[in-house]
Amino acid sequence: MKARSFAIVVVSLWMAAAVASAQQAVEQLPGYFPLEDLALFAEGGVEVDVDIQGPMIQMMAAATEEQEPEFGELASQLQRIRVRVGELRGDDQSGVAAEFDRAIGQLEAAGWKAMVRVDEGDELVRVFVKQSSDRIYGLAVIVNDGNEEGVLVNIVGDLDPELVGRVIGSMDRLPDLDELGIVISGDE
Amino acid sequence: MDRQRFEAVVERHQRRVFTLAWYLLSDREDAEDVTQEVLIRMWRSGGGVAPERLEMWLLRVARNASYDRLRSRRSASRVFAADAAHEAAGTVTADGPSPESVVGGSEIGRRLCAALTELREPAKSIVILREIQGLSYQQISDVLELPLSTVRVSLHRGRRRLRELLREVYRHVSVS
Amino acid sequence: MSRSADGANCDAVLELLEAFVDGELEPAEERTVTAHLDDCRACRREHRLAMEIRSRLRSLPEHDAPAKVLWSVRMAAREDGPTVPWRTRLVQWSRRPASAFATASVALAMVVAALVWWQRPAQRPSLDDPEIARAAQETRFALALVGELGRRAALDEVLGRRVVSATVDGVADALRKHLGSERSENENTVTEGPSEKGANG
Repeated sequence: MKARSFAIVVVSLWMAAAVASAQQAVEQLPGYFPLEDLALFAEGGVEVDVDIQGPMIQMMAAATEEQEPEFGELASQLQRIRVRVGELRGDDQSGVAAEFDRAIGQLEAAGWKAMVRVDEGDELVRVFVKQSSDRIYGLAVIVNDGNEEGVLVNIVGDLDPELVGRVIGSMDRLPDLDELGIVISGDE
Repeated sequence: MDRQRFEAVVERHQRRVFTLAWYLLSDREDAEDVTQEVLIRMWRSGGGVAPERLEMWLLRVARNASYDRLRSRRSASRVFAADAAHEAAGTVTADGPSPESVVGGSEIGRRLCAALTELREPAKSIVILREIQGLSYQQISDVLELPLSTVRVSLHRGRRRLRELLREVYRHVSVS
Repeated sequence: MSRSADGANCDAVLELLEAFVDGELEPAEERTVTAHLDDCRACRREHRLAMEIRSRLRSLPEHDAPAKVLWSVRMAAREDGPTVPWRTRLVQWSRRPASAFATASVALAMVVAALVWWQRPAQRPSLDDPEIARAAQETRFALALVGELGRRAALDEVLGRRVVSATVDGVADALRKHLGSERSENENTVTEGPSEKGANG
């Protein structure tokens, strides 16, 4: 009985170590960027904080693979999804803009390439990508809505660009983003 | 109502709310907005509705919100009723695809959706609630706050009107 | 107004037809209508049409609200009383240096739970599980946001309002190809502005 207990403890510790190293591994992937390091949100300003990883991603992939094979396949290529929405740091809009300039510098210094840029008035959108010639390792999105609210996204994985494009392209368009407290149109 | 329960209620009832709004409005985006509005209103009501009455309450609020939206469309002089000829030609109206068409629906299904938009209230709501959503007369009576007899008569009146609108489409229906 | 051999009036029968289709008539009325339909070809056609329409109506589908709507609703609820999802809470908590043992325990619990769960052959993960459904919605939202930003940026750029720079060969094209027909038709305009196209990372 004692031997069995000991074996269980050893196996358990081994598994725990495996999980810890798996978590470590995600953070070492090229497409991972610690959103906290960008320090764009005011203290206590984060209103939405989503973090999906590990077994949950596997379960999501398995749950969707039959009915939505492309989404399920993409999910199986994902390692981590983070979304943060909240009030931005900075005394005023120019302060916020300065923080974004700094954050963009951080991402570029870390080897991220801007794929989409929008600069209009106080609004700023960047979609950054980390990739090789035929794989996407990560996407990072930063949005300043020009009204002291922001969105940060980091999608980490080993993704087939064609598949990402197809899945995104087939998705319903989002409802008005201002419903989420994000305004990025400003066409007038 | 705590958040966990709220989310369970949202999961359970979102389909009813969205379906009613979409068939009433014939516009997916408007139906999405109404669904969101109704569900958030439920959250803000703070659980003031008894659980057994929640579904009927949601449908009533969804129906009223849809009609507020229709009224504002009309006041903005926008064409609401889908043009039957337009639909008959198989074109997608400016208001987007019908609830039927998104599932690869048949031509007859699309025309049926177009004809539905021609119905007057309360027949239109009653036909949707009864025939598409499968509510009982009593439930519809609760949702719309109408007497049972009115529900029954309006349902039959609505379907009779649909028959008139769709008679041409169904000319091929043979009689054995 | 016509009257068939059974003596019933067509208008009166047609008046009862929908109730007849729903089986809501009194037995005597029902017999009258049935007898009339046996005799009257025009009313029989109307009866068939009424049955067909009712049946078609009942086959019209109900639809789930899109994930983005449910996401948005949840966001609104959260804004009322902001709280952090359990996954995030767990990760944040596990990162505290003082909780190494607790981290190991939680990690172990997660692994064991995951293993036990994977061992159950009959129960595949399903979107019926609210946590999985939520994760899928959140993932969709993150992906849809990327798509939406790309679409809007691309459309505005086509309209001459904004600058979109394509910096990444292949990858950007593959993504963009699916972000709206405006884009692919105006591919040449994508790299206007301070383009870094070719600066492959």
